[in-house]
Amino acid sequence: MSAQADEGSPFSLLPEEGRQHFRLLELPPDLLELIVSEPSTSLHFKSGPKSSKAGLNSDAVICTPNKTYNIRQVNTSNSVYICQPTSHNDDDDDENPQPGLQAIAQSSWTLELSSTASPSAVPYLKAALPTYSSTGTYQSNELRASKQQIFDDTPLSQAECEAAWKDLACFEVESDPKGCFLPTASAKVQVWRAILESATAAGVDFGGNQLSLKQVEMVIDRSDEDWPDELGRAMLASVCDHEGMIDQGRGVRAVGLDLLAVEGTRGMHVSELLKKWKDALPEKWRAAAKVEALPRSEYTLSDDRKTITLAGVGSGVAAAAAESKSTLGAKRKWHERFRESKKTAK
Amino acid sequence: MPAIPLHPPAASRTPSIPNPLPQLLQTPSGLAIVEIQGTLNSTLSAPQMGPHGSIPLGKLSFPLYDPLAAVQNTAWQKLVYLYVGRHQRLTGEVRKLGKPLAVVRKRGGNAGVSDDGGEGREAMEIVEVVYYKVLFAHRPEPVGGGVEG
Repeated sequence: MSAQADEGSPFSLLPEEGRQHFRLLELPPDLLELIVSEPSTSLHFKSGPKSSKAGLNSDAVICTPNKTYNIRQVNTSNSVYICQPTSHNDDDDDENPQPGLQAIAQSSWTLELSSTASPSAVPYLKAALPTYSSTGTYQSNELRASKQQIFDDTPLSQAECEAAWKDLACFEVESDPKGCFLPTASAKVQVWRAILESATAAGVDFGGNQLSLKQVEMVIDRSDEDWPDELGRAMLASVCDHEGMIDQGRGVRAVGLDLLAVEGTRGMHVSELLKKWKDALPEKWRAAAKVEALPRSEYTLSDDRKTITLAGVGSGVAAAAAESKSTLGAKRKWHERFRESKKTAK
Repeated sequence: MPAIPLHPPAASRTPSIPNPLPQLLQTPSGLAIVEIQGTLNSTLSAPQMGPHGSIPLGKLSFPLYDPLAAVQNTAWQKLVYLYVGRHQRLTGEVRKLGKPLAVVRKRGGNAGVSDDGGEGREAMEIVEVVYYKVLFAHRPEPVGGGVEG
């Protein structure tokens, strides 16, 4: 009976100097499916700019064209060898090479992937883009990054970046100045009001059948415009659906939020908001102007629901919590305040 | 920071060397994963290394594997031996990975040369997708040469 140690295929190790460097990446079912059945789909490792701002992730992610996976490095104390067949075995004679297995790399950690909870590129764009304000002033933009460069620096998929770009009515200007900009809320309100006035004067029916961005663009009078065409187009796109058709829901929501951002950072009367809101909408949209039409996370109500405040900015409750969070020694107070505000916010 | 592309496995990958592993563990590129609890320590000095610079460890064996048996026969997966040197043996098994693993490396191999046009942009590639591993989770036991255990 031959020695048991003679059975089996030779197994060898490459010394450390010769080893290759691999990473092991766990594939969730949907990503596996994509790689196996649609291998031409582009995948990218991305990471965001280093930042301690809340809501900004500076860790690495993997993106498909429309989905983002967070990456988590998980270590193991085991020795995980990546092996390949070899025919070079030291105890063979060259005339009878026996196929063997050789460990060509070792990895002590695996990358695990998880889906992002509710991915939004909005905070990244807000952090990265200089503003364009209603006075026609461009914030200084030394970087002059292109739209794609900004997207490349954002740890979210191309589709998620495009969605945020569209929602925020961001625009890119070719020259004088060159670069990408984020319009302020008051700039957006101003542009929207002008577009609405011009379109209404030209007989555009906002309550009617499918109305496309192109149709509106064609009829509006640009002669009095102080702002770049690109912003006008971006403003219209922000109220369109993904097929380029004007969408009442998006329009009502965008105008309401922008008005709240302009006047409601320290709170405003709900009645005042509703009045201005309706004034800024086409007649057939006005009935839809209600507080409930705004995303719940964007505002807080107080004073028996008579006062509405933009969330997360200025003297809102969320902002106060964020401010005291950065104060050393106030940690306990912040937790108490935050807990309180969680109870009262509706 | 620029986005780094991750390329899929090459459609045409085939191993050029015969694969000693059971069919189930064979992948198009030949890559496989072997996991050992603890570490393998090599005390071999240079003259003891193999002619191609590799460190011989021992033998990997699947004693219950029968390539002619029906695919549904999976009992062989429960017993794998890794003989280390002439006197030790690890016992392990074949495990299906809960989530398949992509084996990823920098494109252009290890030379650090990018084959990405003139841009020299960093790129990564998935070399293989592996669905199984061989796991050795038990302490090594001594085996005598030539003696039935």
